[in-house]
Amino acid sequence: MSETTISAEAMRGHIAAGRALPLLPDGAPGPVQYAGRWWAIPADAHDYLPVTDASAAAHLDTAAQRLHQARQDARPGAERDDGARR
Amino acid sequence: MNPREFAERCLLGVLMSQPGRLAPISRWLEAEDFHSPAHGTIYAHLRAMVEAAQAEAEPGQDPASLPGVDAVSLYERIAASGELGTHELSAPRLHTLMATAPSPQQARPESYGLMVLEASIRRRVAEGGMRVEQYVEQATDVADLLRAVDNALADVDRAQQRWDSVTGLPNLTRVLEGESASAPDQPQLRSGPPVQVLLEPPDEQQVQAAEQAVVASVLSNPRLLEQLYERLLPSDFADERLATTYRSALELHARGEHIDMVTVAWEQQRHEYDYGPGITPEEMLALTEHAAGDPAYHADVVMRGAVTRLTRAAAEKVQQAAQHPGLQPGDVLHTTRMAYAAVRDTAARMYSQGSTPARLAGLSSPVPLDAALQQPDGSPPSPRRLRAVPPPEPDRGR
Repeated sequence: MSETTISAEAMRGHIAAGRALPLLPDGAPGPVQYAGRWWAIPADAHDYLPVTDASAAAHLDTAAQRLHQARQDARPGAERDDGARR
Repeated sequence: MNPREFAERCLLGVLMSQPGRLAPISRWLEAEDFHSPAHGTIYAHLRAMVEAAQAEAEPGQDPASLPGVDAVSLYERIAASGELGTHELSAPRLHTLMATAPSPQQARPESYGLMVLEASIRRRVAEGGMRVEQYVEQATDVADLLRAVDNALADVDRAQQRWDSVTGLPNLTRVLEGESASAPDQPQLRSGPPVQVLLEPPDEQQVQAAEQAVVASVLSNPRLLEQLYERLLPSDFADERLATTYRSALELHARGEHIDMVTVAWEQQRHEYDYGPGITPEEMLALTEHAAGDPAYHADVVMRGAVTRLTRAAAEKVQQAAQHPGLQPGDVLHTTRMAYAAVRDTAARMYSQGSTPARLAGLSSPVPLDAALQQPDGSPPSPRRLRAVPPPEPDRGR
């Protein structure tokens, strides 16, 4: 295994330890932010590889930002900013 | 209808009733995020209408409802755009969306929107050639199988710990092997809470109706879980699908998250591989339409049914073990203890929570639990006594 490859099992360990952040709540094998970059398992592979394509990484950044905002709005007890009653 | 479809429908249904609630969601949810093109079209038009109406809104106006933004004007706008035929949109379809959604007072469109967004991102990640969890679709993965086995083993371990904490019984196998029950490092063998079996256990139809009523009540009024979560467990349900639905509601409750039909449907798909499918959104809708009765009473019936089933199953297991010539007394006692652990646990939950007073009987069990577990003077049980278990009487207690 090369230094730029991480097994799904090892990535689960990083996620569990809080060192890595999965994009989706499912965790591995989905895309994961680790060591300052995105990692993902290609559809035909079994191990994580860094996402080197700038466009794909940008898409993942955008998705993460949208999910973060959505989770903020959907979190328990979140107040609606339009002031309407729940 | 799968949970993603259900979430899309309910999101649009709520937003058509209270279009003002679209504003925060529109910051992060796009029309392209909807799996159904028709739903994406509806969302795009609704969003445009809301933005226009909010620009003209009067100060102090109820922000949840915007004048001029309703199902009729939405339909007219889509019709004028020429997109009706494209996506088979119709007035009844819009009406169905509104009818499907939980009441605006109870609904959490932000949560439904998050589900739509998650599903959308999952699709796009997969389209981008990256692997992503597909829930049930990837259930045959070996890692999933191992996880399911781990979960099952953990359940067994937790059940053992619960039994020990409720009864304080020592390991009876060790007792028979020579260790004294009164040894300093062993808890005293004592009687746990009495296991009571109702004279009139509910029949299958009554149990089924009660389980449906409990789930319907929880979906309609999730605050009931504050009273039920320690008392009624998913394992008390005879219907595995209703059990999964109830379990999903409990997990949402434990996390302090919003509970309604949409969030429960979404949650139960996450655990479908481990626990099997829950009831469908259509079934949830049908159940909650006819939800009636006292939930506490229905919960009692469910638990009585559970005790009845568990007792019969445990009795069969004990008899099989007691009549097995190859088993040592320690094995028989261990089997007995294990077989009745679930019965005693369920009964303890029934009687420790102020439930409907039960009538003593034991008619469902050919082996009274106390007799199976210990002598009247509190001493460890006799192997001979266990071997003298009489055969069960058919249909007893019915």
